[in-house]
This record gives sequence, C-alpha cells and structure tokens, in this order.
Amino acid sequence: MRRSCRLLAWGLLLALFDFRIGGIDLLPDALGYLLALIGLSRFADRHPALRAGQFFAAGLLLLAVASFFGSRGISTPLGERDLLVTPARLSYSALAVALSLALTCCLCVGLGRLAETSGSRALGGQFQVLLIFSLLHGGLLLFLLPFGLNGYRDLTLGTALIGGALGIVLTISLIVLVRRAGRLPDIDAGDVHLS
Amino acid sequence: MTKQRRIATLVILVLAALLIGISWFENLREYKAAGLPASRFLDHRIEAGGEPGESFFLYYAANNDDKRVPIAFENDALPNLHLDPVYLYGDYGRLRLYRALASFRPVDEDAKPREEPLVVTAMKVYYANGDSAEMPIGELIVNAGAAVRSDDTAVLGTSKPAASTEPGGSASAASSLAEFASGGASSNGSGYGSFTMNESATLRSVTSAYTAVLGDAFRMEISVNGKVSPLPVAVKKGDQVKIAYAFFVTESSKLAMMPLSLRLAAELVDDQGKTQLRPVWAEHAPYPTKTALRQFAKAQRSDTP
Repeated sequence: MRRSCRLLAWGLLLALFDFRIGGIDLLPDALGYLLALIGLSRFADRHPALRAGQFFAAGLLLLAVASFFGSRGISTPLGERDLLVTPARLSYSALAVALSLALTCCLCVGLGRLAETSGSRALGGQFQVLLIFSLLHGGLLLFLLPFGLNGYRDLTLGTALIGGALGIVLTISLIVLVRRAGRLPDIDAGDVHLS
Repeated sequence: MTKQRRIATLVILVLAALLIGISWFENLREYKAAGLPASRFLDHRIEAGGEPGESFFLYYAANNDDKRVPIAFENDALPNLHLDPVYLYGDYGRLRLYRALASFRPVDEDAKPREEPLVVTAMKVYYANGDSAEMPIGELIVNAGAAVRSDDTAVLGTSKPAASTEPGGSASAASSLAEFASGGASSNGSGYGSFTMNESATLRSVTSAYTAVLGDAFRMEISVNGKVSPLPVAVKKGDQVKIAYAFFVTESSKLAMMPLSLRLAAELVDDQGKTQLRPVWAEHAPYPTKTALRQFAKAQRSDTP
C-alpha cells in the first residue's frame, strides 16, 4: 500500500506539471496518469470509490494520449499560435476537468474512509475537507468554462486563475494526503465498504 | 452520514449540476446565435471623389474559427485605388472584423478621365490559404472626375474633370470658389467640415447619394459665420461656411454595422452661374457592440436560404 500510494502520488505530480523544452513536454501527462492508474489499481479493491477511481484515471490517461498525439492548435496565417476558444476545445477541457474532479472525489472518499478505519480520523477529516474544496473548485470551473466561448474576458481570466492556481494547490494537497495515507500502519487491514 | 445530510448533499449536487448545465446551454446558444453563416464584407455605403489622397476603410466580418482568413482585397475596375494589406480590426468573441485601408492614388497622365460615376459592388478577396473569391461589398460610388461644371442641370458626380485637383477638394485651388478651413469628427458619430469663401457665391444645396437612404439617422446643419442658415444662402468672400453633421445610429439598428462614408457636396454657384461642388466627408465606422453583432449575425442567417 505504501509503494502503491507513492506511485499514485508521483503519477499525480507528473500529470500536474509540464516541463517543456522546444515545445515537447518532458513530463507527459499520459505518463503521470499511467503511474497513477498502476498505483491505484493495486489497492482499488479496498473501497468501491477507489475501484470507480480507476475508470476515471483510465479516462484521463486516454485523454492525455489523445491530446499528446492530436493537434489542438489552429495556426493563423501569421504563424502565431491561436488561442481560439471553440466548443470542441472547451468540451475537451470540460471533460478533463470533470474526470480529474471525479478521480479526486473517488480518492478522497476511498482513502478518507480507509484512513478513518485504520484509526486516523484526522486524515479522514482532511480528505473530507479536500473533497469539499475540490467539488467547489471543479464545479466553479465547469460553470465558468463556457463563458470563454462568447468573449467574456474577465470570466475567462477568472477561469484560468481558478483552474491554474487553485487547481495546483488542491492537487498538491491531494498528493500530500495520498502519501500520508500510504504511511498509515493499519491501512492494509481488510476490505472496507462504503457505509 | 445521516439520511438528512445525504439528501442535503444530493440536493446541492443536483443544483450545482443544474447551474453548470444552464451555463453551458446558454453559452452554446449565444455562441451559435452570434455566428455568421458565411464570412462576408459588411454592407458598405461609400461615396468617393476618386481624388488622390482620398481614403476609406473596407470591413470584412468572419467567424473566429473560419480558416479562410482574408489577407488582401482587390478591384480591377479601379486601377488607382490602392488597398493596404488586411489586418485584424477587432476580435469580438465569436466574430472577427478585418479592415483594410483603401486610398486613391494619382492616375496616369494618359489615363482617360471617367465621365460617368462608377458603382463598385464587389471586391476580390484573397485568403491566407491561397483561395480567392469575389464578394459583395455593398456599394462604392466613385464620382466622375472633379466638380467644376458649367451648367446647373448636371447631376452630382457626372461633371467633367477639372484641370487639377487638391486633396479634400475637387476644384483647383486657383479657380476654387472656396477653400478648406477645418474639419473634425468624433467617435459619437458627429463631425463637421468648414471652408472659407474666396469669392461671393450662392450656397444652393448640400447633397449626398445616401442622405435620403439614411433618413432620420443622419442630420446636418449648415451655418455661415456661426449662424445657422437655411438654403439657399448667399455667401460673400471671406465668409466661413460650416457643415456640421451627426449620425444617429442605435446599436440595434441595421446601420450600426454599416460603414458609411458620405461625400456631402456643397453646391456653390458663382455670379456667372458656374457651379462648383465643395465636398465635406462624413464617416460612420461600424460600432460592434454585442447587440449590434448579434443583430448583424441574425440578419445574415435570415438572408441565407
């Protein structure tokens, strides 16, 4: 469980950050989600929410692969990269946000429950707080995203700030909590079911 | 988790999902409503004298995801009309407005002067992807030659060209009844042009091809030495004639997205009965508010079969 949680945490970290040289991401999201999926699959049978989380991680992996190979940019005649907001691109972003939110929720519920069962009510509570903030963040982001279609620049900027800064904070918090959950001594004890 | 808490959580989640759904539905609806069925020029109404230095803008509207991006306009019928490269004038979310400056250059000395006004209704558009297409622009009237005429029965713009012309005027400086004094325009659609009389004359009328079309959306006021004067009015040497105008275009009006360039021709008749036309330009640039753009896109969709 400890190693699996570490793998999951590393996967989430890799997916969070981009390190680009010459336009190529040396830390591809697909690799991150693959690690996360492998890590999660090792203890997913401990809780229904974690089992569901596997599907969302797999969805994110597919989306990251599609994004890596597919071109999402339309170049303008002047050669500049066009940051055009189209329904197709927004749908892609929305799907990524929704899947990411769903994965976070599954991890918070599943690992939170495992932590409580193993006697760490504090960690369980922290997962619950993170769950609430993640739901608020994801919900607000999904609500604001389509405004970018119609040139509401302030809202689009707000979306970018919320999606970027707060998203990073929440994901790092999740990574920290996942690592803590992996260190709990009794977390390997038996299956736990959602009550 | 108690049953009540579960129900409350469920209600909150359903409400949040509902809000998100409404946000997407409304924004997609607005996005669709703001789109053009096909890219096109705005419906221009431009009057020009065709004199060197005279210029106007051509506007072209396209959806922001249209891959056919215009880079140049061209018209073979007007060899002395120079068109600058097209550039992005404004990005209004779903729609983009492109613009190019068109300016008249001196004609070749051996070029045959045009004796009839020329009405241009289309321009060739060259796109970044190599395509080209001839597209309607509305109407561009290029008046024939300069403004000196010997009788008062001629129609505006059909007179024979004068020996020389000056920018902003149509008659030569030497024989001109009046000369340019000042001019100005404001973004609220108002402006003025004034000229000083070199000789005594009668200001008979101030006309344009489009004043009748515009109706109440365009008003002008003629004053001599600061005093509003009904026409015709006798003016003396040294008098200052001012033509003030204003466009009254609401954002929901069809005119809001119509580039207008009026050549207000002040008809001056000297003591020998000779007529000169002194032009004052009145321009209205499109004012693309969200409402105006929506009306424009809606009108295009309803015009498209």
